[in-house]
Order: sequence, then structure tokens, then C-alpha cells
Amino acid sequence: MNSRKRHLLVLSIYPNSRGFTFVLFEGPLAPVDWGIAEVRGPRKNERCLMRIRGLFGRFAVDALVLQEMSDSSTRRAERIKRLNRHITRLAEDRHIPIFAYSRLQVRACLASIGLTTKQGIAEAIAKRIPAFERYVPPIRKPWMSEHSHMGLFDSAALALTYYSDRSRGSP
Amino acid sequence: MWGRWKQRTPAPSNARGLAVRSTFAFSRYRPLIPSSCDNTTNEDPVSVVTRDAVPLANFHVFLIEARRQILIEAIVKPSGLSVPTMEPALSSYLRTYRLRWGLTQAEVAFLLGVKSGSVVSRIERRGRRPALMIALGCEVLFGSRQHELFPGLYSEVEEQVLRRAYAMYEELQGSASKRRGSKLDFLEDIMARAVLRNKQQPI
Repeated sequence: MNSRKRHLLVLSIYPNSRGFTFVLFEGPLAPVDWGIAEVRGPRKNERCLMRIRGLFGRFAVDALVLQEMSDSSTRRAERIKRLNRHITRLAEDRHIPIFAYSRLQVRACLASIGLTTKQGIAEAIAKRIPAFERYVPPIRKPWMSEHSHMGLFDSAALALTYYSDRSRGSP
Repeated sequence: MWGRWKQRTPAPSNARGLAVRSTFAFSRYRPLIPSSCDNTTNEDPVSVVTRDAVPLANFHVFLIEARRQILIEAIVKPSGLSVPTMEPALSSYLRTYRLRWGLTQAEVAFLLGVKSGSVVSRIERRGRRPALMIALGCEVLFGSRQHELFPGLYSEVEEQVLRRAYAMYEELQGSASKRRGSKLDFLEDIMARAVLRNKQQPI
């Protein structure tokens, strides 16, 4: 009955070694929900999937954006690749269109505005989306591991690549 | 069904009524002018009608059609039958605002004066409709209007109220009450506001 047109919800998920991060957009620079899910201990993938299932249940997602993790593109850990495949299957079961972009594609998209480093990308995103300002991690030293907040900007960058891709009219 | 509007059509002798209706139909609802007058969209319809000397009988038909269009827009649009509009994706934006300012659910609960963060959690997860005190409190906290914070609830209430207004409007057509005119004006105003609101929704 209710066929009223509404804003499209684009969910971007970025799995990493600590769990996953997600950002839900209703427009290119309009995030409505975001989070950093830290999952520790055994059965990491199952617990991540449980939380992702919860996200799909809570929001009527119109498109899912993931990282392309095939052997020929981005190199990731085997467990994360497995998790990515599971997320894909989960979305397919719910008939959610999936869009995947490799690290190179994201970089190429953001390189057009002169951004190549992860820190630079994070700062540029925070500049455009004030809600993310407080998540920008401090500049890392060579001996430091990646900050847990960086995943949030990775998933936001994936979503922005999706929007940029759509605005160019590619499928 | 539309025959009832014919009953309401002002008689030619009722000059005041006619003037009021024509202002109502033309000034606020210009986009809803029926297709028979589409070629005059860039001009003031009142002057066009006067200049072209449309017969009075046709003028009444024109008014009836305009009013019918207004009601269709007011009733059909909120119920989402055919007119495409952009409605917010979420029913509540409380979580978005809360995250925007880095507040926890417990902190928001404290600010709103509710027992615990679980109340906020239930509102965020669509499990619970916010009480009036909480809704007003959220408006005070985030400086955003209630229909922006809780668009799902707002559109639900709007649709129900408009349906009832429409039913009342229909019922009043056959009434001989002295206050009928002002009530009908009021109901038309409600519907007109709904039409405007839907047109102003962000895209």
C-alpha cells in the first residue's frame, strides 16, 4: 500500500581484524547511523554476522557496499575474506543489491580530490561530514598499529566511492 | 462521490461566497489548476478567467475541479497511493542526533529526565513511541522540530488526522448548520497545509 518514495539507505560495511565498522547513509554526505563493532575472542565471524544480521533487521537497506576482496584485487586475511563472503550471502538472501570496490578503486576515486593517504582521506571525510570529526585518529607513528576509528573512515570512503560511481552513471 | 461538491458550489447570486472560493482556489493552489486551463499556467488565472469571459457555469466546474484536486492531493499523497514524494528513510532520527554529539543513551536519558538509557534505546529501535514530554525534550535538546526527529510517527499521525478530516468534510457537505462554512474552511485549510508540507519535503 505504501509505495511512497523515500531516501535510499546505503549501508557500507568494512570488516577488519577487530570486528567491523559500518556507516549508513541516506545521501552522499548524510550519514544516519554508524558504529565500530569490536568483537574479541573465539568465533569472531559468527558474532560479527549476528550483529550484521541485526543491522539488516533494523534498517530497510537499499544497497550494501563492501570491499572487493577477490584474489586479484585487495589482499586481506583469510578470515576477513570469509566474513566478507558471508555478508554477501546474507545480503543476497535479503535481495539487497551489493556493490564492491577494491582498495585501488577507492583510492582512484578519492585521488581526484588529491587524497592518497588514509589519514588524508579520514580528515577530508571529517571535513565534509562534521559528525565524524571526533573520530579522526591522531597521526600514527611508524611503530603504532592502525587506530580502531580508521575503519569508520574506510567504510565511509567505500560509500562515497559508491555515490561517486553512481553519479557517473555506471551500473 | 464528487457530486457532493456540486451541492457546495456557490450560487451565482452569492457573490461573497464566490469571491472567497475563487481566492482560495487560485491564490494558494495554482499548481492544481485542472488540465483544461493548463495553457494559462504562466499567467494569473483570475485575470485569464475574467479576460476570456468563461461562462459562469464553466467557472463553477473549474472551482469544483480545483477543490477536488486539492483534496486528492491532500488525501492521496499522505497515504502514498500515487504521488511520489521523498520521505525520510528512518522513523526516528534520535540515534543520529545522539551520535552526532557523542552522547550515550544514559546521558540522553538523564537530560530528558527518564529513568534509564533503555527508554532511549527502545525509542531509537522503533520499539516504543516517544511520550510527549520526551518528544518535546528532544526538540529542546537537539534544536530540531519533532517532525524532523520523529518523521515516522509524524507521518503516521498526519495520515490518520487527514483521513478523519476528509471524513468530516464529506459529512459536512450535507449539513445545514450555520457554522458549516467556517468548519469547511478550516478543514480545507488543514488539507492545504498538508499539501504544502508534502511539497516542501527535502529531496
